This record gives sequence, C-alpha cells and structure tokens, in this order.
Amino acid sequence: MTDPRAPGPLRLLARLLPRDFRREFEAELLSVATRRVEQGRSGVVNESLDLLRTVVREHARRVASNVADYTRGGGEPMGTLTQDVRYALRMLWKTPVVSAIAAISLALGIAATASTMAMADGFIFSQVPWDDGDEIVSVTMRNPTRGVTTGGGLSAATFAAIDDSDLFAELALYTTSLANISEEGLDPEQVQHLTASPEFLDITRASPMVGRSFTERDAVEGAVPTVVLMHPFWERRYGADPSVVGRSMRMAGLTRTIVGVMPEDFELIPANVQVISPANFADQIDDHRRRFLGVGRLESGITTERANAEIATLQAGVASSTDPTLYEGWDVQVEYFSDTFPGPTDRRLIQILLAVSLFGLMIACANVANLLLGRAEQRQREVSVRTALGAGRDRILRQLLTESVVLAALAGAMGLALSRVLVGWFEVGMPAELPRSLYPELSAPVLILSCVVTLGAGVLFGLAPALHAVKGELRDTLTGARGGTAGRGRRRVRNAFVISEFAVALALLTGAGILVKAFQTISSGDSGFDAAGVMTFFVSPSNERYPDTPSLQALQRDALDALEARPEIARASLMSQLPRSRAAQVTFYDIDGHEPPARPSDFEANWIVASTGFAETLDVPMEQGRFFTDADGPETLPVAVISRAFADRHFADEDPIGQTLRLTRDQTGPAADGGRRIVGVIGDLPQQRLELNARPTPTVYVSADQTTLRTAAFAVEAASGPGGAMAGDAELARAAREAILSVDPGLPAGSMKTLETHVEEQLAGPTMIGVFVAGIGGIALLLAALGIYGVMAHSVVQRTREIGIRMAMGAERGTVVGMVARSGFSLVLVGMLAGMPIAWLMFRLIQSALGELTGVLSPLPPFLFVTAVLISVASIATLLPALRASRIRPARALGEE
Amino acid sequence: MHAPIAEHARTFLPLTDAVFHLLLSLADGPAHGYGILLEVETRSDGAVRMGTGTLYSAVKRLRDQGLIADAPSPVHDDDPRRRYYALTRLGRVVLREEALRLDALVRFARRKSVFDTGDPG
Repeated sequence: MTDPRAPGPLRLLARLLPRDFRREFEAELLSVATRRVEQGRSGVVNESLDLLRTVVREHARRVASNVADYTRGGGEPMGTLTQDVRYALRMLWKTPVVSAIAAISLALGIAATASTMAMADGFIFSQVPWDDGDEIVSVTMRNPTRGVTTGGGLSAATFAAIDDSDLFAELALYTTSLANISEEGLDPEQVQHLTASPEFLDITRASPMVGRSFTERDAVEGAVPTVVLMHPFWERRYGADPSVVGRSMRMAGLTRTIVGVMPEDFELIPANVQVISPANFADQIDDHRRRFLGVGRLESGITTERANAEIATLQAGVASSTDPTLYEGWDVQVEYFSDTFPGPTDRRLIQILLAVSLFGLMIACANVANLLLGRAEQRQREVSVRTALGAGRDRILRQLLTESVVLAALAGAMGLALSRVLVGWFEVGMPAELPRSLYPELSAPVLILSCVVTLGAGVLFGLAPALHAVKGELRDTLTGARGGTAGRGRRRVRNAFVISEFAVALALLTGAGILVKAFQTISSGDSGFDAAGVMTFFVSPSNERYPDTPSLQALQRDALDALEARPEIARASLMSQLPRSRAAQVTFYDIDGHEPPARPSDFEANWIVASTGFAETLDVPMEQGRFFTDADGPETLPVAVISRAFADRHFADEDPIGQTLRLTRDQTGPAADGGRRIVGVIGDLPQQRLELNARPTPTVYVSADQTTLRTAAFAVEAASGPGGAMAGDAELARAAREAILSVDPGLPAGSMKTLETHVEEQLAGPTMIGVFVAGIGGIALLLAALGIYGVMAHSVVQRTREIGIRMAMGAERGTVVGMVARSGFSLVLVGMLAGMPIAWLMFRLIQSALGELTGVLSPLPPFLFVTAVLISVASIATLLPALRASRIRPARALGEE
Repeated sequence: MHAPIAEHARTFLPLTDAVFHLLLSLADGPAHGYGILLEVETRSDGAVRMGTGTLYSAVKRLRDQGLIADAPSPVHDDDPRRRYYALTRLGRVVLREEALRLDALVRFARRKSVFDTGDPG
C-alpha cells in the first residue's frame, strides 16, 4: 500500500501518525515526499524532521479535539474512552468486594510508599539549607575508641591553629547554650543562644532582613556586645517590630544591642536557636575545652582528605603544647556537612522504612494483579462473546486496561489522602532541632513519583491479566469445552504471586517484629522512676551574676526552698539532666583498691549531679545506704551515690559503701585529692535517650553542693491540695515559675513540661517507626492471606469437575480436603523458604541501623512468631476453600458443565 | 458582498504562512500535493520551503474546516492515484480576507514610511 521506494525513516515515522490521518494521506504523503527527495528538491533528513513534527502536531490536535468534544458532551473518540471508563466503573461495582480489596490494598501500598518517600526526600536528599550549602564543611573531633565517630567538640586552641592555615576560605567556630534575656516591659525569658565567630553568618550566605550582620569589629575586645535575632523569635517576643533594631537587652549578664533580624526562611542547625551573638575565639589559644563546633568552606582545590591530613599535623602541635592526655584518642575531622547530617542512624532507619514500604507496595501490587487475574478468568466468557461479536482484540485489551487504570486512580486518590495523614503524623515526631527543610513533605517530586508508581502499578498489573484474558483459550471458553482445567500457565503465574507474597510477608513481618520488639525493649519493664505528677524545667543562671560555685550553689538552694514553700509543690529537686536525655554526660573513674582499667575509657559511667530531693521526687528506691542530705556540704567529705548497675559491675562480692571513687570530671576542688566516698546505692533509671530499661548504664551521682552545676534541670512533684486533689499541670508550672522569679526576678524557668511529656518526646521517633512498620507488616499479612485465599478458592472452583469425579469414584471427604489443602500449603512452604534469606537481610539492615539496641535481641523469636502466624492464617485461607470442595455434590459438579 | 460568509471567514484569520501559501497555490485552480509544493517553491524563489508532512497536515485541517475540498482529477493527468484539491467558496473568501488584512497592514506601514528607513543592505 505504501510506496516501497519511500526512504525507511519516512516510512517508519508515517506509521506513527494517527490512524485516520494515515488512512487518508499516508500513501500520498510518502509518494510525494519520495518524489521530492528523488528530484533533489528536499532531503530525507528535512523531510523526516518535518514528518516528525507532523506526527506530534497531529496527535496533539487529536487530543485537543477529543478534549473539546468531551467538554461539549462526548464526541466519538472520547466517547469510547468515557464509555470505557463508565463500563470499567460498572464492572468494578459488579464485584464490589474484590474491587474494594484491590483498591484498598493498592491504596495502602501507595500511602506507605508516598509517605516514606516524603520522609526520605526530606532526610536523604535535602541539602544544607543555605546557599551553596553543599560546600559547607563541618570541623569536629572524633574518638573512635570511645565510639564518637563524628560531631565531637573542638577546642578554641585547635580552632586557632586551623584558622591560621590556608586550608579554609572561611571558617567559624560556634556553640549553643541556654541564656536568659531580660529587658524592660517584657518578662525575662530563657533562649537558645548561638555564640559564633563573627564570620559565621557570612558563611551561611544569609544576611539580616532588618539591620546588619556581624563584622570583625563586633568581636574585638571592648566592643559593644551585639545580637542578631532569628525571625520566629522576633515575631513572637517583639511582635515583628522592626524598630527593635538598635534597642538594648540584657542577655547572659551583658547589655547588648540588637543589630539585626534574620529573614523568615533562614534556618540554622540546630533549628531551635533564637538569638545569635558574636564572640572572638581566635585569641583563646589556651582554651583546650572541647566544646565548640567548626563550620566553614574549604579553599578551592582543597579536598577534605588533604585538609584532614594537614590538620592532623597542626593538631599534633596543639596537643604537644599542653597536657597531651587532654587530646588522647581525639583527632580533628573535616567532612562535608551534607554527609554528616542527618546522622547515619537516621539515614539507615529511613532506608529500612523505604524497604518496608516498597515491600508493602510489592505485596499490594501482587495482590491486585492476582485479584484482577482471577476476575479476568471469570470474565473469559464475556470477553469471548465480545470477541465473537466482532469487538477488536485491542478494543477489549483497552477495556481491561481502562479497568485497572481506573482502579489504580481510585486507589491512588485514597492512598495520597492517607499519606497526607501519615506525613502529618510523622511531622509531630520531628525533633525541634531539625530545620524545617528536613521535615517530611508531600512535595511535587514525591507526588509525581507516587502518581507514576500508582499508574505504573495499575497498568503493569492490569496488563498481565488483560493479556491473559485476551490471549489463548478464548475459543475453548466459548465452546465450553474443557473450560475447567484450562489455564495451567495462568495458574503458575498466580502461584508465583502467592509464593512471592508469602516470601515478602515473612521478611516484612519478621523485620517489623524485630523493630517493634527493639523499640519496646527500650521502654519495657520498670523504668526505675515515676514520672507521674512531675513538672520539669531548666534554669540557666548567667556567668556574670553567678560567677562562681558558691553563688550558684546558694542560688540553687534558695530556688529549691522557694519551690518547696509553694503549697502546690510537695517536693523539689534539681539534677544536671532529666532521665532519657539526648546527650548524657559521662565520666571516667578509678576505684581505690581496684585494678585500674587498661584504658581509661573502660571505666566509664553516666555522670549526674543531683540535689538532696532527687530520689524522693522521682521515686527512685535507695537500695543501700543513703542519698545526699543537707549534711553533704561544700566543706564536708565529698561523697557519691552509685547506681545498681554500677554496683553490679564492680562490687559483686564486696560492700560498695565506704569505697572511694576518683572521677575524671572532678578535675578541681577537694574531691580531686581525696576522691569521693560512696554513701549509697540507688536503683537504676535510664539516663540516655535510647537506653534500655533492661540494660541500664552504670551511673555515678554527685551532690550539687559538692560540684559546679550551671544549667540545672528542676523537677517538682505536685502536692495534694486542700481537697486532696493534686495540683494541675498549669497550676504547677505557674507555681514553679513564680517561685524561681521570687529568688531572682531576672531568672526565667525555661522548657517547662511534665516529665511524662519529656519521656514521650524522647521516645516519639522510635515509637513512631515501630508502629509504622508494624502497621505495614499487618497489612502485608492481611494481603498475603487474601491472596492465598483467592487462589485456593479459585482453584477449587476450577477443579469442581475433577473433585466431583473423584468423589463419584468414592473419594472420602477427608481425602479431598487433604488434597486441596496440600496444594495450598506447598505454596506457603515454598514462599516461606524463599522469604528466609530476605528476612535475614532485613535483620542485618535493622541491626546495622540500631546497633547496640539489637544486640540484646535475637531474630529468632519474632521469626518463629511470624512463621506461626503466617501458617495459621494460611491454614484458614486454604482450609475454607478445601472444605467447600469437600461439600461438592458429584452429580451437580458433573452436570454443571 | 460583505455577507455573513466574510464574517465567518474572518474567524479563520490570521493564517499561518503554510496555510496562506497553500490556499494561494489553489487560487488558479485545483492542484495535487506535489504540484502545490512545486508552486510554492517556485513562486517564492525557494524562500518558502514546506515539508511534505506539514503540507498534508494543513491539507487535512483545511479540508476538515471546509476551506478546501477534494477535486476530480483533470483528464490530462496520467496518474490515477493523485488526489487533487480545490478551494471552496469559503476558502476563497478566507484567502481574500487574509490578503486584504495583509494589504491593510502593509499600507499602514507604508504610511509610516518604514520602507524608506532602516535596512541599508
């Protein structure tokens, strides 16, 4: 029909034209084009390009006119589509249960995938939220032997040495702390305060939206102290009043001038910083306390490897200029900020989540394909009739495909709605230090990807059944012959689906089991303290007003007295940190009369400073001896209380009371000379965030009256009021705030929250992940069960005739049940075997993410539990159809055909 | 003469270059596709080059819009497969309206003396 002389590319392209166009013009177009080329009037390339444009143009025109027709109420081509969609909806409605199960399983799979992708998008792919953020390097210290692989503090001395080198284009040192601000007309307030070299803001490439940034001059000796405010804080405290620039306020004991306000979209890491002030670190070359962090940009051409190599030499010089043990085991590490943030643990958790949700989606897709395949088989007769009546094969294929796309679209809509809920739920669990850019968000890429996945799943998993329905045994079906035993290949496909569903379900559920168990273990068992009715807050007195240990101790005693004087408060105490804190302080120690450890780090314990009321306020039992009393003062014998775990570690065979401890944190003061006498053993409680209740870390308690503690966490327990009712949270908070202000009107109580809330917040992340994984695991189980039920039920229907014959020949009902059940179980068994290696991989992934947490866990109990659950679910799903098969009446079965 | 048909014709304006040339080629009488392309090329001294795909794309659209129609092959044509196209009455009016529109534009430009200034070479 087409011109055989026409050049190949033209012939090929012409085939892509819309059908009606081809019908009319293809032959003529090709012959004209060929003639032009032959006569040298045009080139093949030009003609091909023009034809390609025509192809695109014609298709676009067709779509446009279809849409126009459709909006006008249905022309012919679009009419087919609407007809298809309408028919698809009708067919889906006809088998509502199957359709609903398919749509819901797909929706759940999509929701899980979309929400995890949103989370991963925020975490893994997001960048440092500053201009050219990928150039930012962090300079920190690490000490691998102590498990600090990154993020350890840097000393000002090290900073000064590095800053003198040519490695960095820009470099700043910073640290965050709590500070109190006060000014006329406003309540004093505790804020997150970032102190940084004046270059810090320049490195972020951000400049204030009102006022100015810091300059070198702001950090020189004798300069007027200045601050820059973060936007949210400026809005809240100053009502977004731009005239605050130039005003003075007191913070951390100095009167400072507000010189600028950062723009709204500027974020710092940590994100909860409210006020920034400049400091001069470069001159403090004798300060060896490792308490700062470095951030900068490398000189162009300098790699992190080279920087690290050169800094190692510089650091060796710093260490040799002072007591070398101060830096023993520590080295400086320069790395790209984007590589260190978020941390590896979070990254792996996200990977687990992604794997889990992809597994979930896989099961959902397999299930949908399975259901659709089953339905396609049931509809073979209909398809055959339609074919016989002259419906084109591609017309029927299109109809079946439309059905799966409609299904996928419905599921996609449900899934995305659900993922909104999930994402909102994730957001609640995000810690305040994280910048908003890391928060999960259903961004455009995530949504697009989810839609692609949805439609892809719909088309892909609709295609297999559709092809099956159209291909092959159509005529057989129509003639009615051998309809029952047809489709061995199809059954193999469905069997493969069931096997893979069970394999994936096994892996997923085992993983979920391990995770849930791991997170449960954190908080399971006796926590060792009672958080009920306890309100907590932080007080951070400034250096200027409280310059030394005696003034701090006096303030703390006065504060505790003032708190306990309030009728709402039964007991008050203070401590260096609340239980389950993100960063627990630790100390090394020696015990007099005990062999010293090979390395100092072998004897490491949590270091907690606490006041006298500590044990009573938190209801921690004393197991031996006593806690601190008013008799333990600055002048009396230095004492310590150890935790149960500490006692178990060192004093299994002897009495700990009266033994002497030497703590590396006691570098000054009388305790350094004589050590601390152990006066009591207190019950264990988890001090670190993810510490297991069941495996507490050894802890040493030191009296607040015998050491220096600046920022203190206070805990107050509610008193029963006159009517016997406990004071409410709000009442308690107000009482506490007023009591602290009565001691020092410039001293605010910050981060006021109940101890229960604090613990909940600390455990929110893991709990959330555990629940999420368990949820998906449960869905997977349900889907796998539905899958096997569907296949078994279907095979029983298909084998009705065979079973009828067997029973007519005298087969017992039991034999029939056994026969059907066996075939079902063999699938389950194969699936389980295939799932074992995947489950093992899952376990290893979780282990690498949670490290120590899974150390106490064996994968076996969750695995066995899941296996048992899967087998019992599979039994029900298999036995129900098997029992149905056994009730088949032979005569009926044979007559049915 | 300025009957409703001219009103209707004006709804097709302005025409694309390809369409204008196509209609113009048919102004002298029916032609086949190859003939149209030849005519356009010679008339414009090769300045206007239309791809074959573009031509038939335009042919289809113009026919769907009723500006041109199939025409019987003239007796002298030896190739029975060739299809001839001719302007319809609407097509002729559209061509005229477009030509008038362009002419008016050129006259405006002339009044502003744009032809006398500017481009020296």
